[in-house]
Formats: sequence, structure tokens, C-alpha cells
Amino acid sequence: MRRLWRPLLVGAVIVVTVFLLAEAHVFKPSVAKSAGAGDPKAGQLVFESKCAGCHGTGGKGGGPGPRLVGSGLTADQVSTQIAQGGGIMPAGLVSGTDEADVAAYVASIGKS
Amino acid sequence: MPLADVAQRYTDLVTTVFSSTISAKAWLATVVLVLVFVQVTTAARMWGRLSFLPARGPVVATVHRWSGRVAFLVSLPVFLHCVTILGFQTPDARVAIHCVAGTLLYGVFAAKILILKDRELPGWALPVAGATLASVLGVLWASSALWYFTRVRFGF
Repeated sequence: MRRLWRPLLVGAVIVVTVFLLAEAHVFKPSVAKSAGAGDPKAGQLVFESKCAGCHGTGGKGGGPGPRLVGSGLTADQVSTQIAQGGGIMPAGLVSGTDEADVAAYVASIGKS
Repeated sequence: MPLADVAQRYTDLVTTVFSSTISAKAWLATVVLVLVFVQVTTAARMWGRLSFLPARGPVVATVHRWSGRVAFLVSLPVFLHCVTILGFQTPDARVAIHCVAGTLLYGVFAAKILILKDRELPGWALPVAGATLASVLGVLWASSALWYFTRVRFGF
């Protein structure tokens, strides 16, 4: 019984180390690159399959994520949010061309 | 290479197979969960709790060891993304529970391995450590992959 403190101590040290590593956020993504000229129509297809679960069909809200229609978000703002996550939204839900397309689509519905 | 580029390199790498980093994590975590199920059943067999399993003796022990090793390796990309790229976050209960469980995971794993190696510890220590580890992994999967598959999308 007396020997049990050793594995528990090592485990506790590793838990603290992992927590400090997570707090340090060593590989936090830099601000997203410009989304470039994404295709809003292609972005709509990606949005409906990957984003509508939280933001609602067409970004009209109704789920845990905010309504995006009329939000006024720019493509760069959307791209940054996708890359870094925020609130309950995890980072990296879409990437690459899909990210640029979704950013263009969300920016387009943000104006309406 | 700037540290921030690691995130982009990681994203580029995993999206050669999966549609997104979170999809990759959801599937890798599911593989780990399946291997944890193998771990629990083979451990139960070795402790004489599941007599219906056909495999006996060293085969069960070998399957148990290798499923654990593979589970550990498969968990590493998830660790990289969650701990070093996303960091510790508490925006809501799901994410907070996930972050706390994730922080505990490797500590519990290390304690379990050390308990396994020490034959002078009481007999209940190893099953308790193994059950704790499996429970932590179950909580991690339920608070991430299950949420992704049911609330975001089910696919690669």
C-alpha cells in the first residue's frame, strides 16, 4: 500500500505537465491567411454538410451556434474563426479550399 | 519553422486523409475506443471474469499488450492537436469535461503502467487503474467523437 504513492505521484506530475502544455498553447495557429477568392456556391454545399448542424440550414440559426445570416462577418473573419475555433466551436472543422469556400459563403449570407 | 506553422502542417497532413482535423480526431478517438474495448475484455479474461472468450493464456495477454500499445500510438495525433494546438478551454460543459478528462488521460495511463510493473502492490490496484483509464477514455470519446458524429456530421 505504501508503494502506491509512486505511480500516483508520477501520474500527478504528468497531469500537471499536460495541463501546463495545454495552457501554454505552444502550437496555436497564427491568424488565418486570407481566405482568398472562395466559391460561395461550393461553400454552401460544405456548409450544409459540416456547419448547419450548429448554425442551422442556410446559417439561419436554431442550433447551438449563432445565426450567421445578416451577421456582417467578412470572409477573413470567418476564416479566422474556422482556423482558431472559439466558444463551443472547435478549430479546423474545414480547411484548405473548403475553408475559403465556406468563408465566402458565410460572408455572402452575412450581408443579407 | 515558426511554431504556429506546426498547426498548418498538421492540418495539411491529416486533411490528405480526412475532411478536417476534427473529423480525423473523431475517427482516431473511435479507433482508440475500440482498442480500449479490446483491452477491457482481454483484461477481464485474464482476471477470470470472461470465461466465454475462446483465446487462452499468452494469446490473450499478447492481444492485451498490443492493443494497448496501438491505442497509445493512435492517441498521439489527437494529443498533439488537442493539447498543443487547441489548448485548455472551458466555453461550455462539454468542452470543459473533455479538457479535464484529456488532461488526466496520460497521467492515469502512466500510473496504470507503473502499477502493472509493481508486483508488490495490492491486487485491487491494477483493475482499479485499468478501469479508471478506460472510463477516462470513454468520457473523452463521448464528449468529442460522439458529439461530432451526432451533432456535426458522420463521415470522414
